[in-house]
Amino acid sequence: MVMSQLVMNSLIAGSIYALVACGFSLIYTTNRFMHFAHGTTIVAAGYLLYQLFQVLGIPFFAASFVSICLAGMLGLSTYYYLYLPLQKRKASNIVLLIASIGVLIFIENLIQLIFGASVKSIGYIKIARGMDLLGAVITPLQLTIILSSIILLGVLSFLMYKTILGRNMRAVADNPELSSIIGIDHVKVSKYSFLIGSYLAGIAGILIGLEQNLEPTMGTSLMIKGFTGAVIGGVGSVPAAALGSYLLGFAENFGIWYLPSGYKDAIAFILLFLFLLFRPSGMFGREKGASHD
Amino acid sequence: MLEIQNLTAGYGELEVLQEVSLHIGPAEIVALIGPNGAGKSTVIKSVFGLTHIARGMITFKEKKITKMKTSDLVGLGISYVPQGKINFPSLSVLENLEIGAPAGQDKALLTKNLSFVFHKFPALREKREKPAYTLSGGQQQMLALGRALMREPALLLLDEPSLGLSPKLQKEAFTMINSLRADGIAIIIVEQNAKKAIEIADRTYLLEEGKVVLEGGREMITHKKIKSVYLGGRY
Amino acid sequence: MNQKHRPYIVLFMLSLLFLAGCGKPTGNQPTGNVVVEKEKPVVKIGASLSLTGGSAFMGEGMRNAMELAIHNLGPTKYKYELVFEDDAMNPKMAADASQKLITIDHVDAILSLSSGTGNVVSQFTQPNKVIHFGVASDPTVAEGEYNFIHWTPPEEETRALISELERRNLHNVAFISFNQQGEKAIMNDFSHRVEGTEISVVSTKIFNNGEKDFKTYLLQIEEERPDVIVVLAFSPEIEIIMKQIKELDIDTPVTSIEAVEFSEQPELFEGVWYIQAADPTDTFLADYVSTYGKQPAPGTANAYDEVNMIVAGFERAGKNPLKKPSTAEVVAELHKIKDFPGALGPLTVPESGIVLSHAVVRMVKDGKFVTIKP
Repeated sequence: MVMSQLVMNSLIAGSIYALVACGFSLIYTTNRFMHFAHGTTIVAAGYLLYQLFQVLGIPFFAASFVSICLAGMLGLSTYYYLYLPLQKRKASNIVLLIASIGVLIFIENLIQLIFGASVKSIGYIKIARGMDLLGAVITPLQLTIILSSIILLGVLSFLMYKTILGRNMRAVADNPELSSIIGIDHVKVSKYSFLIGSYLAGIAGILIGLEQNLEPTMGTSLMIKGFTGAVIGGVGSVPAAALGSYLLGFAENFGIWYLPSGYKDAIAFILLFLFLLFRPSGMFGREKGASHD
Repeated sequence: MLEIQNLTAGYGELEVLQEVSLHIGPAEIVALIGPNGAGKSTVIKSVFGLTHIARGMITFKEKKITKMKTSDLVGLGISYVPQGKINFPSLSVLENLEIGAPAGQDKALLTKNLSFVFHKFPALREKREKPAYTLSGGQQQMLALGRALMREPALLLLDEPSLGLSPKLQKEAFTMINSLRADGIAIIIVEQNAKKAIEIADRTYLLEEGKVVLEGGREMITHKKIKSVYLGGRY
Repeated sequence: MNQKHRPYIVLFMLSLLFLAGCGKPTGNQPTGNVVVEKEKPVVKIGASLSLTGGSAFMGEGMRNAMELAIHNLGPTKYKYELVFEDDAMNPKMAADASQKLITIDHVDAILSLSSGTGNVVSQFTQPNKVIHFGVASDPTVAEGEYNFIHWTPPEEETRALISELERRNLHNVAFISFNQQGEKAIMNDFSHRVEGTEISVVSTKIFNNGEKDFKTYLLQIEEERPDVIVVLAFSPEIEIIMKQIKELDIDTPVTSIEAVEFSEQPELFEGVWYIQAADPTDTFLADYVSTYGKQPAPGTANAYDEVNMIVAGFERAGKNPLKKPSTAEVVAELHKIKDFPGALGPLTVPESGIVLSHAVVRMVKDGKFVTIKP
């Protein structure tokens, strides 16, 4: 049925955006600056998998595991060797953002230099007709993407709301001055946020790379969509960011059903613009500040 | 318990305090009053390692703690409740309290301290699962105090605990603080409301321009300096 | 050897090397009244190509062809040099590239790739009297006597497409296309030509650069029940579209113009017939493949021809071996070109400046590209 296919397409798109947004939001929530290089962690993981699996012939799951681990290392190193020293020198968040963009450009160009600009395909899955599910056609990979997104969202939520590390991350995000007064180790919390966020990026890179092929500049467009999803939902909360991403997926697919086709990118930008202007805390976010009597 | 001797401290190059000396013993409430910029907050921030100390000495339970790192001070039994944003708004009341406890604390001890706090502040027990931003101003103060107590501190440093509260709530706040004295805790309060401060404290220090200009007990309220300058004001 | 002396020794050796390099005689020189290589006037041929980005495979192909053309030149009156700039098929970058090539490198000619960038380069070359050859489907790129196009014009390809559709009895047509001038020109031309025939366009979906998810577009197209889907896109989008068509179990036949042969996944197009611009000659193919080890991309053979035509123009127009002809004189010579032996067959440059070559219909059979209707 057409409607269920449309819904399925929306879920797939939303899941891809959510995979990007979750990691990004985790890092933003804890550190309060935009780690745009998150996009390149995603791309780097994809290309690593390509190199290990496609070029060197290492078995797929081993190669994926290694790629995810290395993605985590990449994110953590960016924090430890770039952001942290800058923060120690009292750099403002704008400076950190610029540094982040610098990393993004550097790594994208490095990838282009090593692998070339043409599109690479990770040939793990043979292209075949999808299966019928609830009136729509969906491939096993696409279903895996949706399920992974939901499972990871669950795992992240558990981390954030049911563990001490998660509680400390939220505390640092809420009130950084107070958190250091009561003795929370900022650096440790930040390290974990980058590590976990970047593992997520690694998983995203692998799944998205399989589904959409690899291109050195794909990180930028993914970040834009993921970021938009996060803003729509509410950047300060991981589940909200994920929900916003799903909303974006639905808005895009249903939007182009009724609007002329060239408007697909415009939908994302318009939504981003509207939310930043009128409700920057997102649909599920809370306006900052405690209530008083 | 706490002794500050000839403390000269401030922020960066700026020296706010000039040779300030004060002391407090167990189960005592000491108030610091004075006009804005007198350095009241700077005194307690200095105890907590948040300022630049040029000269002077601070001892806590006979131990020199001048210039000690904040994270180490927390472990010694000093708790600080700052001015302004005093809680974690999106964390629940329970989480706000738990986060005040030392890391890796024994579960039984944690539960004991939580019961103590809920006993002192029943309103918090009611709202334990709710996020902190849903609390009223008075309840926020309670929460901040409660969290400070989770460390079983010997010394509490409170920076303007009544700020932004209605007169009724202020009264409640001071009653709360008073009751803590019964638990043996020493409390230093920085207060704008000079009258209330003198009433509740055992001793009060008046600071002006970084110096202690007056010190005394409740009889201070009749001192002409206090009467003319401060009690004629808004409060 | 002493520490103090070392810098002088190094300097001395470097000077020796420098002198040795300078004095070296170059190339074959005919005896007699001769102009030494390095005194020949230099003709600079610049290029604004997509050397990065999704279309890099075409830009690189053209660059290779240009270098091959220079390499294959026999003795010439003038010296020909190439200057390359990357525009990533982006009009803004093409503007910067044109600016640099004209004002800093002082090129005599520029080659470009795509309608979007070609139109930008044309704006710079015409007023500055720089010769310009575009590989583009939009005819406005050739406006102005200094601007030329060497590419199978869209009318040619559309004509070939329509006749094949009629031959196969496919009447309801859907387009899914990249948002670019050239592709839009093709769709417009198509719509005009089929007016009054049994063929009609039932759906048109346009996507922007970088799109990776066409599933909903394909869903919308299928709703209109087309007999054929024409995909106007290049790599990487065309592969993703083909992939998603298969995954969504869409069995409507698919066709395309130009892009199939340059995909890195030809297995996706097994059994697909498509329109292709003129085939390069076997001679050129052999030469290119043996030099670069791979098949040429679209536009590669065109670039080869363009360089050769420009060289021919300069050689024919130039009467004085010590002074280059003006580009106006070269342009006049270019317009006289008739049956010029090119990599794309005999070439003629008409008044419009759009070099003519023909389109063919091909099919992917067992992974090979077979012409089924020349």
